[in-house]
Amino acid sequence: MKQLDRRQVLAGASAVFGCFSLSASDARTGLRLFLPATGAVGDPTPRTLVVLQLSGGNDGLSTVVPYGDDVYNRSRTATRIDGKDVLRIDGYRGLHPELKKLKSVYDQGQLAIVEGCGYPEPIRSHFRSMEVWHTAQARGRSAGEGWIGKLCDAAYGKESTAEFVVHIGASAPYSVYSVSHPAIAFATPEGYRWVSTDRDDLKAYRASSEKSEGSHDGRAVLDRLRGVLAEAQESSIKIRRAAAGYKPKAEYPQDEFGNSLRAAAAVIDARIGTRVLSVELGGFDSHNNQRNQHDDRMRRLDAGLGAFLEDLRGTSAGDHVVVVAFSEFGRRVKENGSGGTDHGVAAPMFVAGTKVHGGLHGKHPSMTDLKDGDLVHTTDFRSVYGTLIDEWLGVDSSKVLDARYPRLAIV
Amino acid sequence: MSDDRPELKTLRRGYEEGMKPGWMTTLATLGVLVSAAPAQTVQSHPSTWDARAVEHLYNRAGFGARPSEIEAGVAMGKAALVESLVTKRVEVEPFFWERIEIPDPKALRELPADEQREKQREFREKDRRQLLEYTGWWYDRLASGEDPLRERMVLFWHGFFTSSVEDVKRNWLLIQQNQLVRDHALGSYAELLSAMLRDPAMLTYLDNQVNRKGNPNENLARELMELFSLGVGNYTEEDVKEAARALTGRGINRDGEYELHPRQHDDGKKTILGKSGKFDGDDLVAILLKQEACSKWVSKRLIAYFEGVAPTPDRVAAYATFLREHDYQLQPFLKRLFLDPAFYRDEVVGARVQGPVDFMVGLSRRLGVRVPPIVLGGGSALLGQRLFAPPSVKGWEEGEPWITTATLMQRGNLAGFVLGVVKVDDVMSGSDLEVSDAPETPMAPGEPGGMDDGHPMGGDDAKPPAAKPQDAKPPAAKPKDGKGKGGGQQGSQVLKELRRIEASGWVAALNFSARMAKAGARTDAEIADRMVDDLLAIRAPDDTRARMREFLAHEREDAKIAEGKLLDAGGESERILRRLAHLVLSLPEAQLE
Repeated sequence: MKQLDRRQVLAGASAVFGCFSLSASDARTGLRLFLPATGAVGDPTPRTLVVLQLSGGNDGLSTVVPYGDDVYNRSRTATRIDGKDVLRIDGYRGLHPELKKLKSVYDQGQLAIVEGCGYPEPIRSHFRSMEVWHTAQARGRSAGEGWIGKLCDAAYGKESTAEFVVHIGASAPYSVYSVSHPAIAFATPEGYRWVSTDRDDLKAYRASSEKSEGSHDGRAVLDRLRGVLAEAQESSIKIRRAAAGYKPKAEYPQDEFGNSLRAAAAVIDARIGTRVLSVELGGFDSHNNQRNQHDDRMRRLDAGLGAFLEDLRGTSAGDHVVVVAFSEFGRRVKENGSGGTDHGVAAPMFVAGTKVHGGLHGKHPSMTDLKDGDLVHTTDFRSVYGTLIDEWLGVDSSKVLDARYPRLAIV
Repeated sequence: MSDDRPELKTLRRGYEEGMKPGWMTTLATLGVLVSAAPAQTVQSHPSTWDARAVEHLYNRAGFGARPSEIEAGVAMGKAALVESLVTKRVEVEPFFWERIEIPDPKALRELPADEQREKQREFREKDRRQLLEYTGWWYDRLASGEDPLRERMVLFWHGFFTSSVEDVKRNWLLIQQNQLVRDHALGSYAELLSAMLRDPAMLTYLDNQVNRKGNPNENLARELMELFSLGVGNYTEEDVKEAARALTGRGINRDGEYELHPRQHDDGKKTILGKSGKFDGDDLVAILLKQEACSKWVSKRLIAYFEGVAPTPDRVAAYATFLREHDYQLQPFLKRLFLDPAFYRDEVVGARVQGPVDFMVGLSRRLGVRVPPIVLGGGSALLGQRLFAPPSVKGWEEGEPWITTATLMQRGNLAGFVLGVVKVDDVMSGSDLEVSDAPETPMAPGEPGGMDDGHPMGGDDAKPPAAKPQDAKPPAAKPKDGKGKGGGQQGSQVLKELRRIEASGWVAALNFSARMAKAGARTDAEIADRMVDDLLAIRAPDDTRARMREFLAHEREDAKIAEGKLLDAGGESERILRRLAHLVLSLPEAQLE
């Protein structure tokens, strides 16, 4: 089915398709049967999912540290985090010392840690494993659209607005790829626009979205493209206005990740009907001298995500938001020879928000029953997706995941 | 009519039918009968051989035409132009490339860990850089217009027999594959298919390295049948399994050369598509080529690509027979297609959405300027099509899905960059190329006000680009990204290059005033019409022409220049004309060909 690398770049088709109506009326009814908790298309304050991708393979054992485990302490040297430094959760595990804000979110019961997430027959290639996470299918991209794209199809059928799915950051992940519900993607809200040097140019540019009556080459497609242009201008204004007028209630770090989350909060606060926001923090591929690099990533994660959660807390919009964080894989239990760790398998996922049932979920993977030196997953990550789709968004997860996975008590 | 074809009824099968327009797939996504599909009337269009037909042929068989080429094409006549496009090859200055040795693992192990990493990094850097240079060479070929059909076919095959840098870690293998495609681009599909099954990049990309006797990997066999030869529905799962056995042992050696590992090859009896024998890979190819489905699949993919509309089953059947009769030779096939009146029907002409490569290369062709390949490649990547990195084994989905609210605006911005009216940072600030962790400037407090005054998009135009922090200092050093972000890293490189190009003072060698004067255009209407005709790949509708004329007249009056005297105003007139060009190339019409 679909693939499209433009999804990595600017994701998806567009409302070009908006002008086609369903020819089978029962199909429309069918789509209506399941009105999602996210609300109808026009709902200004729908439940929103923020998907945070930690790219490169985050070392789960350095994020939720099993400091009380002998195997951990023996397997790690340069990357080992001492029990006296971790932010203790219990006698066995603690959060990375830099995750101070997230620890406080955890203590307030608003951070769920799902331990040992992964999938059967794990793949250790960044790209291929990411495909599995993006499509929620073992076959990856060959299986079709991204899971967020499928989610929109399941929830809204053909109805769509440009701001349904928004990716903020370097390149949109395949997870948001969809022909019928294309995501909009931008690195900064300010850059989501047509650049002109003169207001007259802008006026003429806007006017060129007007549909024409006459007959000419490719008229039908041209009319659809004019529709996209009209929508682009509207959307550009909405997004940039949202960002420009936003007054956060927390201080975001001055880095790319902080800016992305600030923009995400602005989009949520603007109530323009966004259902899924996607953001990314890269730099987790820590093959050598991991400690400095990973500490820095944890610091940025904590500062950015901590600010975001603080910003949303106590607002009505905040009660409509759940964040889920994942990485394409964890890392090997045993450290490599250059102070780093190589590609591994299972790792924890984070789910955060005021409506989240915080605490530990799933089961910590065994540190002794390893497969090829890797942790064996205890929870299929699709249980997390499925629970959020069913319970949080109120959409039938089997339509998105092609199967039902055991639910978790995370929301 | 194709509307009734049952295979259009589901998304999966619908897609695999080939490159249908996006809306068809969308309807199919909804599980809805595609009963609303417009009739594919293959009416015989009165074959007038005029500028419109010539430009159409150049748009599809190449990447657009210069006004002079259109004139010459009309004079030449249809048969002669088609003959020339299909058969006339030009000598190309070859690109020098070399196999870059992977560091020897044994020697590597002797070294300290730091040095091991350094050696590997050196290899990757050298390998990556060579591919980047090659990509530049390819873009130069694309934009040269010297051998348009060959370049068009190379791009087609690149999306047909896909391989990606994401999986083929030795990037030079992709250069080798591209050279192979170049050699066969207008030769025989049969030979290309056969060669592809020995191509090291392809064998790597589809995991045939680990397709071994007793432990087969079906990846290559499956895609071979589904995408490279037959299409879904024309083989069984059992055929895939048996075909995989026939392909066992085909791999590459340490130097990255094709090698058949005899001990890994399963030489037992197989049954494939009703034939039984101790088949190997070559036997498999022979069996596939004998299938009617194979000639139909290739015909359908080619026609859909060139016409932008899925062909009717009747037309596919006729072309498929023709293809088989000509031993899968591509030149006769393409000649027939370009001479076919149906190729020039209204449903086809001017109705295909340009892909990113079409857009970037096409605009440089129509402007008639050499745009640095890094701009063409960076722009295409920004718009979603990075050469050597197709999103999946299915290649790129062509047509309307290319256009999103974001890409539509970015296309205009990129045109503006080439024209010199938009700065790199303006264009790139919304792109996947911006990967630095450098702090962004918060929007100035005055801007929200500016946005509310009825010119929301113009609110920040007043801000000189130099005020942006990126201009003042290089992006902060960032930690290495995961490999999943390979695009980002390459993007960062492209961005640097673009900034360098801008800083070096590169400007497109354009002189619209002289161009208009030479064309005899003097009045606002004449100039606007001429610009629209020169810069668009399609015939613009009247309302668009009227708007462009109005814009030009307004700007001329603002500059206090009398009607008919615009071209005499020197720099002032050139600036106005460039803004007009920017506008024209940002139009929805500029996305079509």
